[in-house]
Amino acid sequence: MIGPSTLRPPTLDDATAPAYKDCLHLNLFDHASGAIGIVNVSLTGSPADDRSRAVGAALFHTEETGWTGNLEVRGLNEARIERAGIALEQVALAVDQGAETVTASARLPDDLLELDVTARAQVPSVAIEERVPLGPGWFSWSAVGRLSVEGEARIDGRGLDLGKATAYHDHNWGRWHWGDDLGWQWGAFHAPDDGPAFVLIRMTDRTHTRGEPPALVAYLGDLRRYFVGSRVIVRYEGWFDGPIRRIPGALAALHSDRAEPRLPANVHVVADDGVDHVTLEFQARGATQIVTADPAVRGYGFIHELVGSVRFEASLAGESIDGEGLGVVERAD
Amino acid sequence: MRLGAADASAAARLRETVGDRRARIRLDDESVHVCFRGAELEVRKARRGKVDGEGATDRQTVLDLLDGWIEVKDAILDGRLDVHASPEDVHRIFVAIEIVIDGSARAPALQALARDFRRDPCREARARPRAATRRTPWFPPRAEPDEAEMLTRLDLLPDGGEN
Repeated sequence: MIGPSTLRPPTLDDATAPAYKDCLHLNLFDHASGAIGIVNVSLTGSPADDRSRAVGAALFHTEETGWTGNLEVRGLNEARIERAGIALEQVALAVDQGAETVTASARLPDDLLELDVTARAQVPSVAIEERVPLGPGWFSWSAVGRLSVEGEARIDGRGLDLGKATAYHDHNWGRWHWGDDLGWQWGAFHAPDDGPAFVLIRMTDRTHTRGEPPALVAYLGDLRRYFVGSRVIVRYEGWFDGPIRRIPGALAALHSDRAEPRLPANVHVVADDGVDHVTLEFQARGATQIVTADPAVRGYGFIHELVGSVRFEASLAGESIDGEGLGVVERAD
Repeated sequence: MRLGAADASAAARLRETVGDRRARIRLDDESVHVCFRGAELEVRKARRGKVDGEGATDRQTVLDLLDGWIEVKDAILDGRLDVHASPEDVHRIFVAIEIVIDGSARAPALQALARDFRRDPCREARARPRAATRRTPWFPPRAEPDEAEMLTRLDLLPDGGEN
Protein backbone atom coordinates (compact mmCIF):
# COMPACT_ATOMS: atom_id res chain seq x y z
CA MET A 1 0.00 0.00 0.00
CA ILE A 2 2.94 2.36 0.73
CA GLY A 3 5.32 2.85 -2.09
CA PRO A 4 7.61 3.34 -3.77
CA SER A 5 9.57 4.41 -0.70
CA THR A 6 13.00 3.04 -1.54
CA LEU A 7 15.62 5.77 -1.65
CA ARG A 8 16.98 6.42 -5.15
CA PRO A 9 20.69 7.28 -4.87
CA PRO A 10 22.47 7.96 -8.18
CA THR A 11 24.71 5.37 -9.80
CA LEU A 12 28.46 6.00 -9.88
CA ASP A 13 28.35 7.00 -13.56
CA ASP A 14 25.43 9.41 -13.14
CA ALA A 15 26.63 12.82 -14.35
CA THR A 16 23.68 14.48 -12.62
CA ALA A 17 24.59 13.06 -9.20
CA PRO A 18 25.57 16.46 -7.72
CA ALA A 19 21.93 17.52 -8.10
CA TYR A 20 20.60 14.41 -6.33
CA LYS A 21 17.78 14.93 -3.84
CA ASP A 22 15.85 12.30 -1.90
CA CYS A 23 13.33 13.12 0.78
CA LEU A 24 10.98 11.27 3.14
CA HIS A 25 8.30 13.38 4.74
CA LEU A 26 5.62 13.00 7.41
CA ASN A 27 3.00 15.49 8.57
CA LEU A 28 1.13 14.91 11.81
CA PHE A 29 -2.24 16.44 12.63
CA ASP A 30 -3.33 16.05 16.25
CA HIS A 31 -7.00 16.81 16.11
CA ALA A 32 -7.41 16.55 19.89
CA SER A 33 -4.99 19.39 20.68
CA GLY A 34 -4.65 21.24 17.38
CA ALA A 35 -0.91 20.55 17.30
CA ILE A 36 0.67 20.00 13.90
CA GLY A 37 4.01 18.29 13.31
CA ILE A 38 6.46 18.08 10.42
CA VAL A 39 9.19 15.45 10.17
CA ASN A 40 11.46 15.38 7.16
CA VAL A 41 14.68 13.54 6.38
CA SER A 42 16.57 14.11 3.17
CA LEU A 43 19.77 13.48 1.25
CA THR A 44 21.25 16.15 -0.98
CA GLY A 45 24.24 15.92 -3.31
CA SER A 46 26.36 13.19 -4.78
CA PRO A 47 27.21 10.31 -2.43
CA ALA A 48 30.80 10.64 -3.71
CA ASP A 49 31.13 14.25 -2.52
CA ASP A 50 31.96 14.78 1.15
CA ARG A 51 30.10 18.11 1.05
CA SER A 52 26.83 16.26 0.47
CA ARG A 53 24.48 16.33 3.41
CA ALA A 54 21.85 14.37 5.24
CA VAL A 55 19.30 16.66 6.81
CA GLY A 56 16.65 15.89 9.40
CA ALA A 57 13.97 18.32 10.51
CA ALA A 58 11.40 17.82 13.23
CA LEU A 59 9.07 20.67 14.11
CA PHE A 60 5.82 20.90 16.04
CA HIS A 61 3.48 23.84 16.30
CA THR A 62 1.00 24.33 19.13
CA GLU A 63 -1.11 27.36 19.94
CA GLU A 64 0.48 27.63 23.41
CA THR A 65 4.16 27.13 22.56
CA GLY A 66 4.43 28.14 18.93
CA TRP A 67 7.16 26.22 17.13
CA THR A 68 9.41 23.72 18.86
CA GLY A 69 12.03 21.45 17.32
CA ASN A 70 14.85 22.10 14.93
CA LEU A 71 16.84 20.90 11.97
CA GLU A 72 19.94 18.70 12.01
CA VAL A 73 22.55 18.72 9.25
CA ARG A 74 25.13 15.94 8.92
CA GLY A 75 27.53 14.40 6.45
CA LEU A 76 26.25 11.35 4.62
CA ASN A 77 28.76 9.20 6.45
CA GLU A 78 27.34 10.39 9.77
CA ALA A 79 23.82 9.23 8.89
CA ARG A 80 22.45 5.72 8.90
CA ILE A 81 20.95 5.38 5.45
CA GLU A 82 18.79 2.37 4.83
CA ARG A 83 16.72 1.15 1.92
CA ALA A 84 13.76 3.33 2.89
CA GLY A 85 14.95 5.27 5.90
CA ILE A 86 17.39 7.89 7.11
CA ALA A 87 18.48 8.09 10.74
CA LEU A 88 20.51 10.99 12.09
CA GLU A 89 21.54 11.44 15.67
CA GLN A 90 18.48 13.49 16.56
CA VAL A 91 15.92 12.92 13.80
CA ALA A 92 14.98 9.71 12.01
CA LEU A 93 12.28 8.51 9.68
CA ALA A 94 11.82 5.10 8.06
CA VAL A 95 9.21 3.44 5.91
CA ASP A 96 8.35 -0.23 6.26
CA GLN A 97 6.52 -1.15 3.09
CA GLY A 98 5.67 -4.63 4.33
CA ALA A 99 4.11 -3.35 7.52
CA GLU A 100 2.69 -0.32 5.70
CA THR A 101 4.03 1.95 8.39
CA VAL A 102 6.11 5.10 8.67
CA THR A 103 8.10 5.49 11.88
CA ALA A 104 9.55 8.80 12.98
CA SER A 105 11.48 9.94 16.01
CA ALA A 106 13.12 13.14 17.22
CA ARG A 107 15.39 13.83 20.18
CA LEU A 108 15.64 17.59 20.35
CA PRO A 109 15.30 18.40 24.07
CA ASP A 110 17.33 21.61 23.70
CA ASP A 111 14.67 22.74 21.25
CA LEU A 112 11.83 21.49 23.46
CA LEU A 113 10.71 18.58 21.27
CA GLU A 114 10.88 14.82 21.54
CA LEU A 115 8.81 12.55 19.36
CA ASP A 116 8.10 8.85 18.78
CA VAL A 117 5.37 7.92 16.34
CA THR A 118 4.32 5.13 14.04
CA ALA A 119 1.87 5.97 11.30
CA ARG A 120 -0.08 3.29 9.47
CA ALA A 121 -1.45 3.75 5.94
CA GLN A 122 -5.23 4.03 5.70
CA VAL A 123 -5.37 4.65 1.95
CA PRO A 124 -3.32 3.35 -1.00
CA SER A 125 -0.37 5.43 -2.12
CA VAL A 126 -0.37 7.63 -5.20
CA ALA A 127 2.86 7.39 -7.20
CA ILE A 128 4.28 9.42 -10.04
CA GLU A 129 7.36 7.50 -11.15
CA GLU A 130 7.81 9.57 -14.30
CA ARG A 131 10.33 12.42 -14.24
CA VAL A 132 8.19 15.49 -13.76
CA PRO A 133 9.98 18.72 -14.80
CA LEU A 134 11.02 20.86 -11.86
CA GLY A 135 12.82 23.99 -13.02
CA PRO A 136 15.83 22.76 -15.01
CA GLY A 137 15.67 19.41 -13.21
CA TRP A 138 13.03 16.85 -12.42
CA PHE A 139 11.35 15.06 -9.56
CA SER A 140 9.27 11.98 -8.91
CA TRP A 141 6.87 11.47 -6.08
CA SER A 142 4.79 9.02 -4.11
CA ALA A 143 2.37 9.90 -1.35
CA VAL A 144 0.02 8.35 1.15
CA GLY A 145 -2.79 10.80 1.74
CA ARG A 146 -3.92 9.57 5.12
CA LEU A 147 -2.40 7.43 7.89
CA SER A 148 -3.47 6.66 11.44
CA VAL A 149 -0.99 7.44 14.21
CA GLU A 150 0.24 5.84 17.42
CA GLY A 151 2.79 7.47 19.66
CA GLU A 152 3.47 10.63 21.53
CA ALA A 153 5.34 13.88 21.46
CA ARG A 154 6.93 15.72 24.35
CA ILE A 155 6.63 19.43 23.76
CA ASP A 156 8.30 21.81 26.20
CA GLY A 157 8.25 19.08 28.83
CA ARG A 158 4.60 18.15 28.41
CA GLY A 159 3.48 14.83 27.00
CA LEU A 160 1.10 14.83 24.06
CA ASP A 161 -0.66 11.58 23.18
CA LEU A 162 -0.95 11.41 19.40
CA GLY A 163 -3.40 8.51 19.34
CA LYS A 164 -6.11 10.73 17.86
CA ALA A 165 -3.79 12.20 15.24
CA THR A 166 -3.75 11.51 11.52
CA ALA A 167 -0.77 11.77 9.19
CA TYR A 168 0.29 12.40 5.61
CA HIS A 169 3.43 10.84 4.13
CA ASP A 170 5.34 11.34 0.91
CA HIS A 171 8.62 10.40 -0.69
CA ASN A 172 10.08 12.57 -3.41
CA TRP A 173 13.32 12.27 -5.26
CA GLY A 174 14.98 13.79 -8.28
CA ARG A 175 17.63 16.17 -9.53
CA TRP A 176 17.64 19.86 -8.84
CA HIS A 177 19.83 22.41 -7.15
CA TRP A 178 18.51 24.68 -4.46
CA GLY A 179 18.47 28.15 -5.96
CA ASP A 180 17.30 26.94 -9.38
CA ASP A 181 14.33 28.65 -10.94
CA LEU A 182 11.74 26.40 -9.35
CA GLY A 183 9.05 26.45 -6.73
CA TRP A 184 5.95 24.65 -5.62
CA GLN A 185 2.75 25.06 -3.71
CA TRP A 186 1.51 22.09 -1.76
CA GLY A 187 -1.00 21.41 0.95
CA ALA A 188 -2.41 18.56 3.02
CA PHE A 189 -5.72 18.96 4.86
CA HIS A 190 -7.17 16.39 7.24
CA ALA A 191 -10.47 15.99 9.01
CA PRO A 192 -10.44 14.06 12.31
CA ASP A 193 -11.58 10.48 12.89
CA ASP A 194 -12.53 8.80 9.62
CA GLY A 195 -13.19 12.04 7.78
CA PRO A 196 -11.78 13.07 4.45
CA ALA A 197 -8.26 14.13 3.52
CA PHE A 198 -7.21 16.42 0.70
CA VAL A 199 -3.83 16.93 -0.96
CA LEU A 200 -3.03 19.89 -3.20
CA ILE A 201 0.02 20.25 -5.44
CA ARG A 202 1.17 22.76 -8.00
CA MET A 203 4.63 23.26 -9.50
CA THR A 204 5.70 26.83 -10.17
CA ASP A 205 8.66 28.94 -11.08
CA ARG A 206 10.71 30.54 -8.33
CA THR A 207 8.65 33.71 -8.20
CA HIS A 208 5.34 31.79 -8.26
CA THR A 209 4.20 33.96 -11.16
CA ARG A 210 4.07 31.05 -13.60
CA GLY A 211 3.01 27.55 -12.79
CA GLU A 212 1.63 24.25 -13.93
CA PRO A 213 -2.07 23.68 -13.39
CA PRO A 214 -2.84 22.61 -9.82
CA ALA A 215 -4.10 19.18 -8.83
CA LEU A 216 -6.19 18.13 -5.84
CA VAL A 217 -6.66 14.58 -4.56
CA ALA A 218 -9.59 13.91 -2.25
CA TYR A 219 -9.79 10.83 -0.02
CA LEU A 220 -12.92 9.62 1.74
CA GLY A 221 -12.77 6.09 3.09
CA ASP A 222 -11.83 3.88 0.15
CA LEU A 223 -12.89 6.56 -2.30
CA ARG A 224 -10.29 8.64 -4.13
CA ARG A 225 -11.03 11.48 -6.52
CA TYR A 226 -8.62 13.54 -8.64
CA PHE A 227 -9.25 17.08 -9.79
CA VAL A 228 -6.73 18.58 -12.20
CA GLY A 229 -6.10 21.66 -14.26
CA SER A 230 -8.93 24.09 -14.76
CA ARG A 231 -11.11 22.07 -12.40
CA VAL A 232 -9.07 23.39 -9.47
CA ILE A 233 -8.95 27.04 -8.45
CA VAL A 234 -6.51 28.10 -5.75
CA ARG A 235 -6.80 31.57 -4.29
CA TYR A 236 -4.55 33.13 -1.68
CA GLU A 237 -5.72 36.00 0.51
CA GLY A 238 -4.13 38.31 3.00
CA TRP A 239 -0.67 38.20 4.53
CA PHE A 240 0.35 36.09 7.45
CA ASP A 241 1.61 38.53 10.06
CA GLY A 242 2.57 36.28 12.96
CA PRO A 243 6.12 35.44 14.01
CA ILE A 244 8.05 33.18 11.65
CA ARG A 245 10.62 30.73 12.98
CA ARG A 246 13.48 30.44 10.48
CA ILE A 247 15.94 27.56 10.52
CA PRO A 248 18.80 26.84 10.43
CA GLY A 249 19.62 30.09 12.15
CA ALA A 250 22.96 30.64 10.44
CA LEU A 251 21.41 30.50 6.97
CA ALA A 252 18.49 32.61 8.16
CA ALA A 253 21.02 35.24 9.29
CA LEU A 254 22.65 35.08 5.87
CA HIS A 255 19.29 35.80 4.25
CA SER A 256 17.95 38.59 6.42
CA ASP A 257 16.21 39.91 3.28
CA ARG A 258 13.91 36.90 3.58
CA ALA A 259 13.02 37.50 7.22
CA GLU A 260 9.58 38.84 6.35
CA PRO A 261 8.36 36.62 3.52
CA ARG A 262 5.08 37.41 1.90
CA LEU A 263 2.98 34.42 2.94
CA PRO A 264 -0.76 34.05 2.61
CA ALA A 265 -3.00 34.20 5.67
CA ASN A 266 -5.76 32.25 3.96
CA VAL A 267 -5.93 29.71 1.17
CA HIS A 268 -9.14 28.90 -0.66
CA VAL A 269 -9.38 25.86 -2.90
CA VAL A 270 -12.37 25.05 -5.08
CA ALA A 271 -12.35 21.86 -7.14
CA ASP A 272 -15.27 20.87 -9.32
CA ASP A 273 -15.40 18.41 -12.21
CA GLY A 274 -19.12 18.67 -12.76
CA VAL A 275 -19.82 15.55 -10.72
CA ASP A 276 -17.84 15.89 -7.52
CA HIS A 277 -16.75 19.05 -5.81
CA VAL A 278 -14.59 20.21 -2.91
CA THR A 279 -14.26 23.57 -1.18
CA LEU A 280 -11.44 24.17 1.31
CA GLU A 281 -10.83 27.27 3.41
CA PHE A 282 -7.50 27.19 5.20
CA GLN A 283 -6.51 29.76 7.80
CA ALA A 284 -2.85 29.93 8.85
CA ARG A 285 -1.89 30.30 12.49
CA GLY A 286 1.84 29.53 12.36
CA ALA A 287 4.64 29.71 9.83
CA THR A 288 8.20 28.57 9.54
CA GLN A 289 10.87 29.05 6.90
CA ILE A 290 13.41 26.31 6.24
CA VAL A 291 16.43 27.64 4.36
CA THR A 292 18.03 24.95 2.22
CA ALA A 293 21.62 25.25 1.03
CA ASP A 294 22.88 23.34 -1.94
CA PRO A 295 26.12 21.54 -1.07
CA ALA A 296 27.41 21.40 -4.64
CA VAL A 297 26.67 24.86 -6.02
CA ARG A 298 26.13 28.23 -4.43
CA GLY A 299 22.36 28.30 -4.16
CA TYR A 300 19.63 28.48 -1.57
CA GLY A 301 16.00 27.48 -1.40
CA PHE A 302 13.28 28.66 0.96
CA ILE A 303 10.57 26.27 2.07
CA HIS A 304 7.73 27.89 3.97
CA GLU A 305 5.39 25.77 6.04
CA LEU A 306 2.10 27.33 7.09
CA VAL A 307 0.05 25.40 9.64
CA GLY A 308 -3.52 26.08 10.58
CA SER A 309 -7.15 25.08 10.53
CA VAL A 310 -9.31 24.17 7.57
CA ARG A 311 -13.03 24.15 6.89
CA PHE A 312 -14.22 21.89 4.14
CA GLU A 313 -17.36 21.16 2.23
CA ALA A 314 -17.49 18.45 -0.41
CA SER A 315 -19.70 16.19 -2.44
CA LEU A 316 -17.91 12.97 -3.39
CA ALA A 317 -19.65 10.08 -5.15
CA GLY A 318 -22.99 11.45 -4.06
CA GLU A 319 -22.05 11.80 -0.41
CA SER A 320 -22.15 15.32 0.98
CA ILE A 321 -19.78 16.12 3.81
CA ASP A 322 -18.59 19.18 5.65
CA GLY A 323 -16.56 19.93 8.74
CA GLU A 324 -13.30 21.23 10.13
CA GLY A 325 -9.79 19.91 10.44
CA LEU A 326 -6.12 20.80 10.33
CA GLY A 327 -3.81 21.54 7.46
CA VAL A 328 -0.34 22.42 6.25
CA VAL A 329 0.37 24.62 3.25
CA GLU A 330 3.89 24.65 1.83
CA ARG A 331 5.31 27.28 -0.51
CA ALA A 332 8.81 26.73 -1.80
CA ASP A 333 11.07 28.91 -3.91
CA MET B 1 41.99 28.08 7.84
CA ARG B 2 38.94 25.89 7.33
CA LEU B 3 37.21 28.31 4.94
CA GLY B 4 40.29 28.57 2.70
CA ALA B 5 40.54 24.80 2.42
CA ALA B 6 36.92 24.58 1.29
CA ASP B 7 36.57 27.73 -0.77
CA ALA B 8 39.70 29.66 -1.69
CA SER B 9 37.67 32.34 -3.44
CA ALA B 10 35.58 32.99 -0.32
CA ALA B 11 38.73 33.15 1.80
CA ALA B 12 40.20 35.71 -0.60
CA ARG B 13 37.05 37.82 -0.41
CA LEU B 14 37.19 37.61 3.36
CA ARG B 15 40.79 38.85 3.42
CA GLU B 16 39.92 41.65 1.03
CA THR B 17 36.97 42.68 3.17
CA VAL B 18 38.93 42.66 6.41
CA GLY B 19 42.19 44.06 5.03
CA ASP B 20 44.61 45.00 7.77
CA ARG B 21 41.90 45.71 10.32
CA ARG B 22 41.94 44.18 13.77
CA ALA B 23 38.88 43.24 15.78
CA ARG B 24 38.20 42.24 19.35
CA ILE B 25 35.63 39.46 19.80
CA ARG B 26 34.20 38.88 23.23
CA LEU B 27 32.15 35.83 24.17
CA ASP B 28 31.00 35.75 27.79
CA ASP B 29 34.18 36.42 29.75
CA GLU B 30 36.62 35.44 27.01
CA SER B 31 38.09 37.95 24.62
CA VAL B 32 40.35 37.54 21.57
CA HIS B 33 41.94 39.75 18.95
CA VAL B 34 41.64 38.61 15.34
CA CYS B 35 43.37 39.86 12.21
CA PHE B 36 44.96 38.54 9.07
CA ARG B 37 48.73 38.03 8.86
CA GLY B 38 49.14 37.53 5.16
CA ALA B 39 46.81 34.74 4.22
CA GLU B 40 46.59 33.38 7.75
CA LEU B 41 43.95 34.33 10.29
CA GLU B 42 45.60 35.12 13.60
CA VAL B 43 43.61 34.70 16.80
CA ARG B 44 45.22 35.79 20.06
CA LYS B 45 44.05 36.29 23.58
CA ALA B 46 43.04 39.92 23.77
CA ARG B 47 45.36 42.41 25.35
CA ARG B 48 45.06 46.11 25.50
CA GLY B 49 45.48 47.84 22.24
CA LYS B 50 43.65 49.61 19.52
CA VAL B 51 41.18 47.67 17.40
CA ASP B 52 39.07 48.76 14.45
CA GLY B 53 35.95 47.04 15.65
CA GLU B 54 34.55 45.06 18.52
CA GLY B 55 31.81 42.48 18.77
CA ALA B 56 30.45 41.07 22.00
CA THR B 57 27.83 38.48 22.81
CA ASP B 58 27.33 35.37 24.93
CA ARG B 59 27.13 31.65 24.32
CA GLN B 60 23.38 31.53 24.87
CA THR B 61 22.81 34.16 22.19
CA VAL B 62 25.06 32.37 19.69
CA LEU B 63 23.14 29.13 20.23
CA ASP B 64 19.79 30.90 20.00
CA LEU B 65 20.94 32.41 16.71
CA LEU B 66 22.22 29.08 15.36
CA ASP B 67 18.96 27.40 16.29
CA GLY B 68 16.74 30.05 14.78
CA TRP B 69 15.13 31.19 18.03
CA ILE B 70 16.11 34.80 17.37
CA GLU B 71 17.09 36.85 14.35
CA VAL B 72 20.26 38.95 14.28
CA LYS B 73 18.19 42.13 14.42
CA ASP B 74 16.42 40.81 17.52
CA ALA B 75 19.74 40.05 19.20
CA ILE B 76 20.95 43.57 18.47
CA LEU B 77 17.72 45.29 19.49
CA ASP B 78 17.45 43.22 22.67
CA GLY B 79 21.02 44.13 23.62
CA ARG B 80 22.29 40.57 23.31
CA LEU B 81 24.75 41.36 20.52
CA ASP B 82 26.89 44.49 20.52
CA VAL B 83 29.02 45.69 17.65
CA HIS B 84 31.14 48.84 17.96
CA ALA B 85 33.05 50.35 15.05
CA SER B 86 32.78 53.07 12.47
CA PRO B 87 29.82 52.61 10.11
CA GLU B 88 32.14 51.34 7.38
CA ASP B 89 33.82 48.85 9.68
CA VAL B 90 30.49 47.66 11.11
CA HIS B 91 29.49 46.96 7.53
CA ARG B 92 32.76 45.11 6.90
CA ILE B 93 32.27 43.01 10.06
CA PHE B 94 28.85 41.82 8.87
CA VAL B 95 30.07 41.22 5.31
CA ALA B 96 32.89 39.10 6.74
CA ILE B 97 30.38 37.10 8.80
CA GLU B 98 28.19 36.59 5.73
CA ILE B 99 31.15 35.28 3.71
CA VAL B 100 31.94 32.76 6.43
CA ILE B 101 28.31 31.60 6.76
CA ASP B 102 27.87 31.34 2.99
CA GLY B 103 31.06 29.31 2.72
CA SER B 104 30.05 27.06 5.61
CA ALA B 105 27.08 25.76 3.60
CA ARG B 106 29.59 23.93 1.40
CA ALA B 107 32.35 23.42 3.98
CA PRO B 108 31.81 20.43 6.28
CA ALA B 109 34.77 21.53 8.43
CA LEU B 110 33.04 24.80 9.29
CA GLN B 111 29.82 22.97 10.10
CA ALA B 112 31.82 20.74 12.43
CA LEU B 113 33.18 23.85 14.12
CA ALA B 114 29.65 24.91 15.04
CA ARG B 115 29.00 21.44 16.45
CA ASP B 116 32.22 21.57 18.48
CA PHE B 117 31.13 24.90 19.92
CA ARG B 118 27.72 23.53 20.84
CA ARG B 119 29.16 20.46 22.55
CA ASP B 120 32.13 22.06 24.25
CA PRO B 121 32.45 20.07 27.48
CA CYS B 122 34.22 22.96 29.16
CA ARG B 123 31.14 25.13 28.93
CA GLU B 124 27.76 24.98 30.56
CA ALA B 125 25.03 22.92 28.94
CA ARG B 126 22.66 24.81 26.72
CA ALA B 127 20.01 26.72 28.64
CA ARG B 128 16.37 26.98 27.59
CA PRO B 129 16.18 28.92 24.31
CA ARG B 130 15.25 32.58 24.63
CA ALA B 131 13.16 33.92 21.80
CA ALA B 132 12.96 37.60 20.90
CA THR B 133 11.13 39.72 23.44
CA ARG B 134 9.18 41.53 20.75
CA ARG B 135 8.64 41.72 17.03
CA THR B 136 10.42 44.59 15.40
CA PRO B 137 9.97 44.82 11.65
CA TRP B 138 13.15 46.30 10.32
CA PHE B 139 14.30 45.16 6.93
CA PRO B 140 12.73 44.64 4.55
CA PRO B 141 9.62 46.49 5.65
CA ARG B 142 6.32 44.91 4.80
CA ALA B 143 4.63 46.44 1.81
CA GLU B 144 2.23 49.21 2.70
CA PRO B 145 -1.41 48.84 1.56
CA ASP B 146 -0.99 51.37 -1.23
CA GLU B 147 2.10 49.54 -2.48
CA ALA B 148 0.15 46.27 -2.47
CA GLU B 149 -2.65 47.97 -4.37
CA MET B 150 -0.20 49.22 -6.98
CA LEU B 151 1.42 45.79 -7.35
CA THR B 152 -2.01 44.23 -7.76
CA ARG B 153 -3.00 46.85 -10.34
CA LEU B 154 0.16 46.19 -12.34
CA ASP B 155 -0.31 42.42 -12.03
CA LEU B 156 3.08 42.03 -10.40
CA LEU B 157 1.99 39.77 -7.57
CA PRO B 158 2.28 35.97 -7.63
CA ASP B 159 -0.57 34.03 -9.17
CA GLY B 160 -3.79 33.65 -7.33
CA GLY B 161 -4.41 36.83 -5.51
CA GLU B 162 -3.47 39.54 -3.24
CA ASN B 163 -0.21 38.38 -1.77
